[in-house]
Amino acid sequence: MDIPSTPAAAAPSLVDRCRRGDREAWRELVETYSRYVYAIILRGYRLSESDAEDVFQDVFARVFERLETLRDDEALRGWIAQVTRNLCTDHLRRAHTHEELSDATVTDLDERLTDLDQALAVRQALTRLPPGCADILDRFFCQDQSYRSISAALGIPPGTIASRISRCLQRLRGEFVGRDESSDPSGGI
Amino acid sequence: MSMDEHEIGRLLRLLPAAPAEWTQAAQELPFLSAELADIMERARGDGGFRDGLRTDAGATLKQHGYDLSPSVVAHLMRILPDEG
Repeated sequence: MDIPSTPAAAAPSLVDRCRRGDREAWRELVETYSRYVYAIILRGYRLSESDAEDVFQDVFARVFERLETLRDDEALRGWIAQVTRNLCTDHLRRAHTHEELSDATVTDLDERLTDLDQALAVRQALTRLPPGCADILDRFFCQDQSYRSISAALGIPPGTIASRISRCLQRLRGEFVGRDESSDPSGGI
Repeated sequence: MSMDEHEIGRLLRLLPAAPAEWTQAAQELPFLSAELADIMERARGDGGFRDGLRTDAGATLKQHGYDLSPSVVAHLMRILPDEG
């Protein structure tokens, strides 16, 4: 399955601005990729939370230091993934826990990382939805909030939460696959 | 591309937010390299300063003129040398 390169679409100017030391651009870059890096470290390599924090900071420090070496700005996502993978491997090697990986383990890791690439593309599609839709999906799927919590936070009836999530998911799917399947002019919420 | 809503939901769940303090530190640290190097150098050579950092890092840093966010202070404490 091809993965839409949505982060890369906005990447060139962002990377250029980061290279020039633009703090706001750097904030945006970290905001865009922090979930991705965090997930590779925790879900991909399954580091402990404590070790993960060290690697997480090392990843962004290295990305910042070496942005000048990135020849193709559109390769930003892949490059960040590679930096993260390298630092996770280095960390495991230093901790003497990185035994020779079996083919099955490598395949499993590759599958998890491919999943995360797709997840980032979906996440990017989420940012293009109306704020109400993005918010309710983020609360339900990413923050694991209950219908009751979402209802209280957004001030909408609990009985309508499920249908709103369903409509917003349809809309997100449409955005992700490149077409909007929702005809709801309210933005689906 | 065939991907149903169930799969979209599953993928969304794969990317929870990183801890906010980690993200904030990552956003700030590259612009604080001079201050951090200075603090680390001082901590290596000044036992009193190092002890102060361990006792109350925020207050000690402020007392010495460093204005750092709690996220950066927390990171600093993680990389602080054990001894001078």
